[in-house]
Amino acid sequence: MAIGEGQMDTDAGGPSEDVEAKFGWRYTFAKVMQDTTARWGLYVVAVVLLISAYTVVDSNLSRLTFGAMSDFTFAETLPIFDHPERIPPPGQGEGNVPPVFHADGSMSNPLGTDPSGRDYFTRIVYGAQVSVSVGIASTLIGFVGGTIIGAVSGFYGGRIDDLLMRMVETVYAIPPLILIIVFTVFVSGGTPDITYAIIGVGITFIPVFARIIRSEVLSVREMDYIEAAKASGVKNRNIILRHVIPNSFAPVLVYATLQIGVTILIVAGLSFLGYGAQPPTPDWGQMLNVSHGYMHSNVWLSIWPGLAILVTIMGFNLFGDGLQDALDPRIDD
Amino acid sequence: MGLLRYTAFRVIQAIPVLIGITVITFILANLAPGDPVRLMLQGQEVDQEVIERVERQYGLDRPLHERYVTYMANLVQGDLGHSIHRDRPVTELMIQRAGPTLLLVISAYAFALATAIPLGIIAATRRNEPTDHVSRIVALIGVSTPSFWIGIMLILIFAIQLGWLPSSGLVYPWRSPDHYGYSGYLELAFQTIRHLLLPMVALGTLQMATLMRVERTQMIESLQGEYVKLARAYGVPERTILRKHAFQVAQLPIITIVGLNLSTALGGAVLIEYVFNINGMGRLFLEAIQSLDYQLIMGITIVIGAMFVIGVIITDISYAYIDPRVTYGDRD
Repeated sequence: MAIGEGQMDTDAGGPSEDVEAKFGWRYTFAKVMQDTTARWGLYVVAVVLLISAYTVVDSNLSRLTFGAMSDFTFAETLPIFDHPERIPPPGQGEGNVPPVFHADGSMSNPLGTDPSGRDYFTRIVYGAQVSVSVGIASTLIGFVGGTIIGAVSGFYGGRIDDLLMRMVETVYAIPPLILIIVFTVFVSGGTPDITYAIIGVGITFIPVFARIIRSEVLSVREMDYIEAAKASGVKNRNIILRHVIPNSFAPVLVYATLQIGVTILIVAGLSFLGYGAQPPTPDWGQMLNVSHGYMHSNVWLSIWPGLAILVTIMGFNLFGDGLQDALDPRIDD
Repeated sequence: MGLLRYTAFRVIQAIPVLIGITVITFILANLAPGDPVRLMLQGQEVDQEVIERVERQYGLDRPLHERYVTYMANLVQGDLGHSIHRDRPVTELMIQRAGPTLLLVISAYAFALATAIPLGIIAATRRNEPTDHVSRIVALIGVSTPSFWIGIMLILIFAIQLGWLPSSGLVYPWRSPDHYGYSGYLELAFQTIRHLLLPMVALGTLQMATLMRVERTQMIESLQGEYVKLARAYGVPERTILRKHAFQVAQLPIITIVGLNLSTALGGAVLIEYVFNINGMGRLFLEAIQSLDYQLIMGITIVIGAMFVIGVIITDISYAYIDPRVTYGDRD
């Protein structure tokens, strides 16, 4: 049992002080920051989170100030932003304007305009909000639910394992995209919305986490130190919390950061097919849906939202990688 | 527990899952507010009398559990019901569309495995060297990009800009060359590959990247194992260590991921078929959703769920076969 051997001494005798320090949040953060790519990942995540936070605050402040019916936003007063949703009246905004580096482009619309004449840059910036909030919320649901189910299932084995795993497999058996579309369309009675998508995505991701942690627990369960803990009369609950979960945790935590990316991917796919965010909400997937019809005439419409998705998910993935290296004591430096 | 008995056990275990899938699908399909016939008409004005007659004809006026029992009785006999909207048996509609999806998913997996495993091993053995960095960047972009956007970009570059490859449709190798007007089987094979190339890469990239990351991590961990150190101390050649000791241990999670990702691949096929205009089950599903053809939606969901269950059984069995450390059933 080569994998467990390195931890034998610490696990058997209880964590000593410097081990405590090695697993602390400050230590992990410092280690992530040492890694250049992980640091950049964190920067991207931070920027995307700040942008989302700003757009949430702005739209709420604007609603409070100008009333719910008004579609004016504070951001509009800044020279770089336009209104993310309002379609300019005929004759005022030109549709399908190419980006600034193009001969027909202009600085007032650095990324061009969409077919309705709205500033594409503003819509891309506001698009962060939907992706990020859905990504984080649903991953959290999946992470918490899956860790509990997976750990209990893998540790106890037998009937409990069978029952939980059959339930998990049932939900997991149907591809998330299909299950979420069916859920969204039927529950909403044919008028899909992003709210249904959030709930659907959250539930469907519990099984992913449950299976991953269970397969880890399956091999951890066979380790000698679990045997030792059992022999010395440690309660099952404590074995799961203190030995099984920590030793199976690293892959799951890394999977969670990567899962935020996967969730953003799925929601983008949902919106692309028309079952996620609905127009006029500025959402990257939804924008790709619109631009799909302009592939021959305006290539840029298809490129920007995809790049936004790519950069955001890459940020989460780079950060996840760094977290993996920082948290996994099994990888030596 | 022997492997054979475990296999039989696992197949029997799958039955509740399959029943569970039908229950979930049935409940979801009947969660819809309003009756299915009205939902299907999407707001069109029709006489109440007509609606009632259609409901009676398809047994929709009976209570939910009765309908479920009837549905299951038919399902066991391979009958997935009748699509009211299309007036055709669901089974027949699906069989027509299964081929393209299977062709797409299998070729995407072949592409993913053929690239991911060698690249992952190379990255692990040359850790922190340029080769490692390049393959990590490729994997990173792969897991960070929506498959449908890769598809759109591939169409923009290879179909619209360069005009090298077709942007939509598939050529099916099981049809005769005459059907397409090709000169022979060689051209049929060539055209099949030509049409398959872009959607295969679009669907396979995510799988490739995921598998490569896992392969790399596992190989690194595996190469740091005590047994590898011991083998090195005994003077076992590095190649043998890689092939016999490190590689085998590292494959266990790969098998898990392949099984688990089958679901993502089947879901991804919906998007890729939409982007590339492929007449597979994914497109059929979208068409069914659009017309709220709930018999067809249930049929597709159940069949895709069943496909995944079979995939997981195969995964679990090969799991036990490869890793002798994992014991099943009787504990202690």
